[in-house]
Amino acid sequence: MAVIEAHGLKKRFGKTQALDGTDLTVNAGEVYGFIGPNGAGKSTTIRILLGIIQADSGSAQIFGQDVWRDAVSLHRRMAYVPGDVNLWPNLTGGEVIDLYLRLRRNTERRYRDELIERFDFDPSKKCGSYSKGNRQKVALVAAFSANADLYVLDEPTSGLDPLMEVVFRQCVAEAIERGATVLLSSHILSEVEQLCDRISIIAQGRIIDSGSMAELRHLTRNHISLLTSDDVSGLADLAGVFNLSIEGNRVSFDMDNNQTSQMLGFLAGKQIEHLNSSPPTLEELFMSHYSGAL
Amino acid sequence: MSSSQASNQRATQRQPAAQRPPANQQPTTQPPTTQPAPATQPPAAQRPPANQQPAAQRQPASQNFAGFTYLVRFILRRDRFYLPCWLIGLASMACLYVPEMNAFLGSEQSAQVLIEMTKNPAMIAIMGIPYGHEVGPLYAQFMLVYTALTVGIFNIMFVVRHTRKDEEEGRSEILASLPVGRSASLLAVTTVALAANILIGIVITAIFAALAIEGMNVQGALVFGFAIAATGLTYAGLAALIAQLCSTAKATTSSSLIILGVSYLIRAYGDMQDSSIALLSPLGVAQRVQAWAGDKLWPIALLTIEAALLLLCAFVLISRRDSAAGLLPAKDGRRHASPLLSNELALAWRLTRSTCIIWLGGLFTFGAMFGLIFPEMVSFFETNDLYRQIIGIGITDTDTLIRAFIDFLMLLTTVLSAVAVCQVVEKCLAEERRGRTEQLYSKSVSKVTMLGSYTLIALIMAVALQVALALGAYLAASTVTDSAPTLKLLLTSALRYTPALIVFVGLTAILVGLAPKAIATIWAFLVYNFLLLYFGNLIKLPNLVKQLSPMTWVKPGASTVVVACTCLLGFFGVAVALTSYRRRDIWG
Repeated sequence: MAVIEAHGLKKRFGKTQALDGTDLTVNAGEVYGFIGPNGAGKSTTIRILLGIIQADSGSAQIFGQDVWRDAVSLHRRMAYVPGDVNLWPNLTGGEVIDLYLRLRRNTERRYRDELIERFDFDPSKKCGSYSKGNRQKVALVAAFSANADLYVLDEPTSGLDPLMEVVFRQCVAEAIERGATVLLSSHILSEVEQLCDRISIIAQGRIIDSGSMAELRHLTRNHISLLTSDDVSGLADLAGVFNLSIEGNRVSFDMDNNQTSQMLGFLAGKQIEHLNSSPPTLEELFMSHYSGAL
Repeated sequence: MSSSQASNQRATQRQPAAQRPPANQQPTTQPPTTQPAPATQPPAAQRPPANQQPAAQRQPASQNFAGFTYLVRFILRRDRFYLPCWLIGLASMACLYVPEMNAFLGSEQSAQVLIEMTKNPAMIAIMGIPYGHEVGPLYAQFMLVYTALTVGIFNIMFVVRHTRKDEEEGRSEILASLPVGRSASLLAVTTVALAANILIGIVITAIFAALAIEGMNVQGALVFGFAIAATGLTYAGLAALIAQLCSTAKATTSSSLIILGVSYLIRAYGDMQDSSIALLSPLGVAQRVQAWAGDKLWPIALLTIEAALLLLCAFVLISRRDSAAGLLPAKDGRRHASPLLSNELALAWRLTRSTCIIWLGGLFTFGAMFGLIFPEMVSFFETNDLYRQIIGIGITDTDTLIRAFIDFLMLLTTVLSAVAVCQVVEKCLAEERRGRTEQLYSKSVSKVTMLGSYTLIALIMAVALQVALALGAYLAASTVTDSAPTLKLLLTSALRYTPALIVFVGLTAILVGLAPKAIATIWAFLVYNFLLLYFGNLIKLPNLVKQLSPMTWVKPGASTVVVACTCLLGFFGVAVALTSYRRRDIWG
């Protein structure tokens, strides 16, 4: 069953066509990744889904209700974490979290306190003194203690340290476990890879590719570089190896992740001085796979 | 190896995904496993059944205001100090001079002066049309417009703070993602503003009732207080409407304040001509309640209707626009910085430019106002012996009297110039508070040059503002009369106060450099100067208190030495400020 169903969303800001016919379908119980470079239209789509801005044309429904007309009743079932949390400087973090919870008529304090502890957050300080990461925690704690059916997360981990990112991932997993749905927008591909079941890639206001992670395996190709004095030109014959380049003892190539053991087998007998494997950056992806399509 | 780790993690995380129960079948019955529910609380039942929101309960109209009561409480919580301070300040401002006025009217002669003064066209332009010789009408004439104006400023600031400001800072975004109606926050602000204005009216009435002055009954006090309150509400409505049109808080505040200023000018012009044009201005309407004489209620009713209409428009517009967007299109800015924007001074000017231009325009307009009423002023002096005797003690010659009066008006207007120059210097600190200077000082930018640039602009403004004032007066006066005062006379009179402005520049700079946390002192000092110059003559004050204002040091007749020392004191302040600013830590 589709939780979010958006078709042909268009939105123009002055001369900029921010969204140009965006489609999005998110099913119940899945973590849906929404990736794209800055200015691609991720946040605009999310703001339309939240009923904060109104699409010029197209339709968007959540739980079968219209996102603009039924915004208030929908918001009782949704929780949102923006990538840039702005708060009132003279209120404490704890006060703001309580306000957010009260506005959704949520009087449950247990989850709030537990999450504050897990996120290692001090709710008694004025918001004006919080760092970016701490302001982010205010929104995260408020969202995950809300017991929502749909979590809309717009680059939620920006400013969080790696330890807190782990807590965040646990929270997402728990939300899924209790039957919620998550829409996660990000420009960090590894985060999306680790959490999401299906993803959509948006660029210039259009969805240019979407599908399950398996279907989009070409996105999860890793870049391998190694230093070796042996001849490894045989790599070119292995399945799943692309863009092989050998310059003296420097070798670099891209490789499908599911071919890792095959590659390791090939390299086992070789003299390897150094090996580095790095996931492709989003920029590389767009350049290698989509520059022609745009 | 990071790649295989990543794929392993993905594999382990994906497994449970396959076993996940469909959300629509088991909506919220499973508590999260890592959030253990105590045995005392049956977990499944306790979690709010958000999923069971029946579609039949949809009520789009009332949903517009969902969350309203929480937002009202939230505003009260945010402003628990701000609001009471303003309320007490405004209400006491309205009543502060009652004892002095009462005492002043005690003597027959001084009462006569005051009554004559209210008939002066200049005074009519400034304060409104006189309608009685008793203490009540006189007091209301002197105080109502100014109090209403200040209450208007408070309302504009309050409404902008809770509407456009929150949107601009992105704070309302999460609020909008919660089950909060699109118009709920505007309704909450409106409600609090309404309550605050009513409270101002009640407190004013209560103070007058407590003072129990003969000739100032409770009925008149009610009319006086609620005329002010209704004017305040009208400006709250105006700000709420403009907040829907403009896309930044700054544009909203300045447009609202400009309309407030224009409405004061319309009232001044209308009253001077004794025409009903003044009724176009809420301030003009408010004055026509004739507190303690006619006690008319229609102006209060009219103002309330105006406020309601403005608010209605605001509510219609807010439901038709996107959050964080304005209805007026924001035009594209420059793609590249102008070649002029290349050093500290250019940056400081770019950041203070609009403030400076608005103030220059404002003072020019004030000057023009005086210029327009100049002929009436002359004939007033020519016919009014009493005024000649009292104001210009020992002076019988009209020219000298006019000159004395011009000096007096210039002195009053100089307080505005002082606000402007302080604002320019304070901008240096405002930038720091917003956290923008950190970036700046990480480049090869000298702190001394930066503060020095703001100070330099303020010093130039100290001259330019006075020139604009004199020029406005000169140009306006020469269009209406042949016997206008010479430009030289007006310039001398206006520029006389520039040394005092330099002292204000120095003082603000010292606060920025030495005691940034005490910057509010400068605004308090400005208010003190304002009250002293406008009302100081009505009250008997110790000389020392009067001498605290730099304006009084350079009054006509001051010796060259004193004037030079005043300038030097200002420059000395700037020097101290630059040294201490270079040494102190930057906070943001």
